[in-house]
Amino acid sequence: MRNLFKGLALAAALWSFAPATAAAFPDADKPITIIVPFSPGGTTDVSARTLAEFLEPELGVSFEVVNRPGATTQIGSTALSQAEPDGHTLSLASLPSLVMTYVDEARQAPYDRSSFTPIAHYISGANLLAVQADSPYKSVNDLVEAARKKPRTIRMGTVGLMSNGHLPGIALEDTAGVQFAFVHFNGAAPLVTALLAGDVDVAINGTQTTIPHIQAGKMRAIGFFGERRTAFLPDLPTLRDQQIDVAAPSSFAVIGPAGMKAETVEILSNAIKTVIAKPEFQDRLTALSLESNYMAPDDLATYWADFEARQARLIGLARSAQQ
Amino acid sequence: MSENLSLLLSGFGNALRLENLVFAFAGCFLGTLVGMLPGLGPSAAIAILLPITAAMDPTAAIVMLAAIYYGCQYGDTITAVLFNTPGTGGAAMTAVEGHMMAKQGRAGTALAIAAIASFVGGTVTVGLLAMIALPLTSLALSFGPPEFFALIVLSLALVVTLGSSSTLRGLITTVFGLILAMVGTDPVMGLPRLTFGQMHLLDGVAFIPVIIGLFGVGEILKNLEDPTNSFREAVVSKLRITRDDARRSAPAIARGTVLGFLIGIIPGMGTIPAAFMSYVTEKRLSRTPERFGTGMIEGVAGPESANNAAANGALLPLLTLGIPGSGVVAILMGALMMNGIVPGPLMFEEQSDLVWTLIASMYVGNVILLVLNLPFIPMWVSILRIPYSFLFPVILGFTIVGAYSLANSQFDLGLIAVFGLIGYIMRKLDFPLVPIIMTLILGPMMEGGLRRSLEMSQGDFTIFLQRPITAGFLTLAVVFLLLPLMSGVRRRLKRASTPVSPGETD
Amino acid sequence: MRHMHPTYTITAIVLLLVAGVVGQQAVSMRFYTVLGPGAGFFPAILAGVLALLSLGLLYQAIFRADTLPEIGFVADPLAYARIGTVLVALMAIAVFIEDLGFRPMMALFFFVMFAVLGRHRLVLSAALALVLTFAYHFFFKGLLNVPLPSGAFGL
Repeated sequence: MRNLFKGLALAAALWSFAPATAAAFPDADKPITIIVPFSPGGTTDVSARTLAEFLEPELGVSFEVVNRPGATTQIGSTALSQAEPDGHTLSLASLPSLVMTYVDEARQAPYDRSSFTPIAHYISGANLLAVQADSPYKSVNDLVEAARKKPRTIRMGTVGLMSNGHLPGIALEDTAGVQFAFVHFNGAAPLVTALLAGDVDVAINGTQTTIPHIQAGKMRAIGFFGERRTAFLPDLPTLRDQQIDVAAPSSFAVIGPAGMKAETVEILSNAIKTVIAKPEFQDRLTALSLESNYMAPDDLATYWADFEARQARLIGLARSAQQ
Repeated sequence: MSENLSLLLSGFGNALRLENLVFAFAGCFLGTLVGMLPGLGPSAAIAILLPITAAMDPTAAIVMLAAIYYGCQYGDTITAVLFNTPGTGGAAMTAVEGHMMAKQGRAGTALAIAAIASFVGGTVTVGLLAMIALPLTSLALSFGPPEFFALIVLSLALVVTLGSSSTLRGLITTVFGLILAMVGTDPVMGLPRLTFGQMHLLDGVAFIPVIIGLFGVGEILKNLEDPTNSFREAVVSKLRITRDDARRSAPAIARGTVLGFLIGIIPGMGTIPAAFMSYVTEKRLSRTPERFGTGMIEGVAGPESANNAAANGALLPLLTLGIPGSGVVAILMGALMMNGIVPGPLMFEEQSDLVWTLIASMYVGNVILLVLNLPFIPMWVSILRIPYSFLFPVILGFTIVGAYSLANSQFDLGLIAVFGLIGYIMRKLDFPLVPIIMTLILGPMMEGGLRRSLEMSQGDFTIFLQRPITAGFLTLAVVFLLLPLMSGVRRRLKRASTPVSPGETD
Repeated sequence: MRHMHPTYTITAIVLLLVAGVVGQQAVSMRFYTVLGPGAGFFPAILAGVLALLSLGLLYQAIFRADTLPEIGFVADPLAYARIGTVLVALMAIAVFIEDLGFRPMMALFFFVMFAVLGRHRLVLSAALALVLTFAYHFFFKGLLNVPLPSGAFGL
């Protein structure tokens, strides 16, 4: 029924605008909607709103941010995949979550990679490994050695089963050839509590929610999952710095539905590039503990494909480890 | 301690500055209005107002957001009592007795006692937060997954043995709620469970649409059986609190405050179990437990104070550890961050000025709410004088906007219709509604807590016996479950002992 | 002993069906894992308990009907038509609100509620519906900035 109406509306739209199909993007009378597949108030939501605020004068068209949270971004991603590819409906996607929803077949997502158009890579980040300040583990290698001696005893807390926090742990297990005892929480708040209380030995957590506890002297970070070090903790070595070949970055990218015109994608991508380069925009991101990392559509597509292959393998490993 | 006191006093100095008072008033008023709309709870209100407060002076922003937080809770009580349309689980407990009181023409009394109970629960616990926040932190940290699991099991045991649900129909409702709670992504494999291919169910059955449907829409459907005969004849706009009301409410408020605060400081528990536990306690301690469900004032006073006390308790992990204790607090924390304040363990030291102003303004907010709301009660109650045929479409309209705007989801709108029908049928067939609310909240907590505990111990169940708090709670739960069975057996034995030979009564 | 209680008999059968569906879903999931209860553990147990309780209710409805409350059926069949109308209207809003927009759907909804259920005059109902729709839109979208769907026609 929904699709019937969409079809009718689309037909009506095509009818009335048939001669004007060549109209340039963006249509100043029509706002651009950014679907945020997370609840309002979170970091992702705020970063999308900040981007929208700066893109508005850049493109001369009004922006509307609509939150469609739920099902690890599957609800928002579904809405995007069904939107018209005219460039007026975009989404800020969390690449790890988006890829997970369609790679894991049990979730029956009505979309896959071919349902989307990459526009611009926006933010890069990664998780870190945190331990209590007085923990015996001084480096990731200490942790790996301990796990090698006693498999499945090092309790490793994550922000959720099959989450952006779990899969880097699986990657570490795989590369180092050890086994941890994973304990899956519901988000960062209970995970941080559990690490402070000593209910887990180590936590895979985001930088933002860990740094205050490092500053307070309650926690220590022993390894960063990024490809490079983070500006917010410049002394924290990456896992690769510690001779463990694991990198599990998480990234946010602006994407659109499949079938967008190349010119439209280029206009949008260039606008995002210009905005990201502005110092006042950078200040706003820094306040949110976020680091921008612009990629053009083609680079993003390559990066996405590579990321998907790695993610699919990790999900397979995580599933086969379940008994 | 004296240092804290002087900091608190300077906090009051900040909170009582004229411009901050104005923001507190505005926040209370706005919060009450938004809270009255089912579905638009404090999280929605604070999220909506975040962009506005981001542009304000941090102190004023915090003062206003705290006031909104309280205002919403009180606003929710108003619609819960008047129309049986609670927008949160906490107010659902108030609705049970409060709406029955409204039907007897005691809506004013119910609202007044709710306002006073909220005030006491709020102000006393603000004081507790200021005095003993730091020592309590270690208590909050001693609640790991096993303790959490045990406490949830104890709560579930209380739901099962709760007077009204000890009947067959009560048990059916409890189990039905637990089955609903199983819908979603399971905590063991992370795979869809009982979702029937519907992605909107991957996070489970959304809680607020279920409450709105069961209570709000179900109530309207019941009233539409005979729309001319609504209860407005019974409206008495006086808000008289009799000596008897006061005598019965005072101990309930005291107990609710302590209980609510203790439950609130445990990260992840939230206000709903607090309100519920208080209700159960009042019912158990009452000399007339069978009259609960007919408009007992203790059932309004206790849960209301517990609700507010727990809401304040949930701020403890935020203030001392920088960890949000509930969803609303998480959004409050987002507001702090947008104002350039990083919540964390150092907040009490580095931003002590602001923290104490927040604590003081919570106190001030409670006072403002009380003075703001008591005079308005006759006005709220007089809404009931509007003929029902004009009133119900307006209420339905609010539930529609509320349910949709939670997640901009058409599916949630469908849910309120489906659960409205279920709520109507349950009312007709005399199935209690409250167990569903409780089990829907507690079910996933129980399963998640069990799984996490066993992940910690790698499948070793002795983890539940090694930790004293856990073992204690679990023992209590077993006792609560066995008590009714034992008394039942004893009664049967007594009845059977005379005519039947002793050998058969084993 | 009285006659059986038809309403509760039907209720018990429906609940038995629910238990059956849940049980059937549960058996396709792992009952137990190395680390304790599996995904199907609690659903299976709950389905079993619900089935038992439903059988109890069935027994009560057929053989102990006097222990169950009388259901106050409404003599007026229109009452059920009214309840049905509200449910259908809610479902209609759920299905069409994003395609047709908030304002047209709400105006229609309010009109039906006032005219059909409230039995107000058509003109009054239409006027109330328009005023309320405008007021809601102004309050929620204008003042509170709640994103309400505008539909294919931009209303």
